[in-house]
Amino acid sequence: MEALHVNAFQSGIRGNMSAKGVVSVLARPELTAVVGTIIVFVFFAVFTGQAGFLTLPMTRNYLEVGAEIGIIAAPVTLLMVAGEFDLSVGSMVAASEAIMGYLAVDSGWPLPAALAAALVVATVVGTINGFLVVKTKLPSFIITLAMLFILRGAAQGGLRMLVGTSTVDGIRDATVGDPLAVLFASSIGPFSISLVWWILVTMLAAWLLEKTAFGNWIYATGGDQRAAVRLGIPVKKVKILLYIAVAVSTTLVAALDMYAINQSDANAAVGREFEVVTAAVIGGALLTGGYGSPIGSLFGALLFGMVDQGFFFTPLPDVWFMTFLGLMLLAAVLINNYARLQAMKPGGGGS
Amino acid sequence: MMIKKLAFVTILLALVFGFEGGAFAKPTFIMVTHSPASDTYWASVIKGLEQAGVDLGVKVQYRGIENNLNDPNQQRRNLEAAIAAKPDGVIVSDPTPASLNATIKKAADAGIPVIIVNQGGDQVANVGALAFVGDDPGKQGAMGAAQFNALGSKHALIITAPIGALSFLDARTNGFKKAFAGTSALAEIPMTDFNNSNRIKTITESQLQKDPSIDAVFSIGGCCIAAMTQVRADLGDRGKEMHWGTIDVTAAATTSLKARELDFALDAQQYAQGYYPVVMLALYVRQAIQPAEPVLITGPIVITPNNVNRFAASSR
Repeated sequence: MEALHVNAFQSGIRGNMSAKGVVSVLARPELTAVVGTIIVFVFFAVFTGQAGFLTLPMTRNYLEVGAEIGIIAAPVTLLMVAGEFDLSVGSMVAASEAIMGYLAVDSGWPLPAALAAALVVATVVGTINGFLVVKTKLPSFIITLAMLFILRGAAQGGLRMLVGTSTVDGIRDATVGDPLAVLFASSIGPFSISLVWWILVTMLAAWLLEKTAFGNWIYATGGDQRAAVRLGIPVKKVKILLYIAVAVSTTLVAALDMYAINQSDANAAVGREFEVVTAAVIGGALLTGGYGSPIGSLFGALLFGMVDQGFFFTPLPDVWFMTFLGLMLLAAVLINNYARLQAMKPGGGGS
Repeated sequence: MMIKKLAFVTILLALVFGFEGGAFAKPTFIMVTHSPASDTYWASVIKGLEQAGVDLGVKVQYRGIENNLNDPNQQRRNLEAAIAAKPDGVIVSDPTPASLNATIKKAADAGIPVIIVNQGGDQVANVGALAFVGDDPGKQGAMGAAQFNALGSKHALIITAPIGALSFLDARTNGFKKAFAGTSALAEIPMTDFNNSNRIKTITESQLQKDPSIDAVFSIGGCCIAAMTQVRADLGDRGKEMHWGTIDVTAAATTSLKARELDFALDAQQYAQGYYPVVMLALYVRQAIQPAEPVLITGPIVITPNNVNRFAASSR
């Protein structure tokens, strides 16, 4: 599996335009994710383009939805390659929103201080997650699931205790004029700045995984942890660092979401962990670890965003939304799987 | 020496707790509802409940549901646990009479006075409760429609949950549609997105994109106010020409009312739904006073940019 991956990569980057070369490029996990996403996009463009799906404001919207999933999906993909899950991400987004909202709006802290406080808490939570997983060797599913509940309750209970309700409104007015707010609140052309963050975070994760020794360590940890330990790879440190990276990414999404809607909500991002893992799996990540691609997850998150918004332009009654979403996701993974299998057939491409 | 110390401490503790349990026992009232304590609407009810406990010198306790709004099984179990604790009074919401009435009757049969709160106003006689303090969601929707009628709106978009998901939201939506003079369309937010203001915003914008003839937007509750405010800002000039209104008042709604960006907000005054039942139960337990009317509706009242300042001065 690894050898095929490397060979396909090499023949891909030589810009080989022959059929064999093109097909071998498709064997890269991320590019098969593109196939599914393109087909879904064409579906919406053809059937709902007239109704408004292709307009700039609507494109901006589904890209926003994609970004709030994709920014977290990038480090989560790395974590999944290393063989672990993090189900606490949705609650961590809400906790970060609660912290920043309370500090910036109710306590009058300047934005850099509120952001720093949220980042510190995220780092602590990520460290706890990672530490518990590596020390107890219990399934990360269970540990981070427990953290999901702990954080959600803390965000809701904490905010209720401090301000009497679970939302804090007015982050924009409270931080008006703060130069740091520009990083989270502005638009780039017709698109939200979350799009830029999303692309940057994805590229960073992809570079880390493919081009650095740390990335090799991640592959080794997920592929065969015992062999990795014997090779001297600091498996525990790798996992703890990845958990911290995931938690920090949730703080980024929290800041972007807060400015997009001018509200912090302790009930935010319910179910986000589910969407993030889905995006990673559509992008080619294996649930069993050892294989995955942050760029693929970008396309997975994009697909999610397109379906989540595009549905409302179809003539289907709104009550069928969940069935539609499930069918689209199923179609996407099946198409991606087929494309990958075709690309890796002997004689059809691959090595 | 150790035994003497231990005996001394034990006697001291027994005195303290015995004292507390005996002569100074405060009445205990338990509120059991279908909502998590983290819900923005119910947060105000709980504030009213707790303030009433302080003002009247009674112990109050709130038992909600942990995850989703309105899980009748979980609420039934919470109610049974509350009855087993032998409180001096029970305040319970009754959104699903078919599932809950039997258990509520058990409380009344056990001699515990019951007040129904928020939903189930027509069930007072059926379960042997003293009274109902709450909402009429149909009227809330109708009042919203009346506001838009007065403003001259012709085609309204209602931001709501999918029909059938939450019965009180359905009642609000249906009340609106019946009373509204023009035509209406729905922006049904999937329950999975219901807590996500960003997605409520994008879905509403999709509906407005599809239908340029919409000239009014009505939000069905506190869930959707932040999103609706942002939608208005995103729409620019079109947003300024449209009319915007909501049920429930949040901090975002108050700011928008003051800036004249929101035409009205309907305040259910749900703080009173936490406060009045405690008053009624305290009078019943201490002075044997029974509510003479079976139904007390606490709202809504209409908050507009003209009277928002008085409202904002309160702390509920």
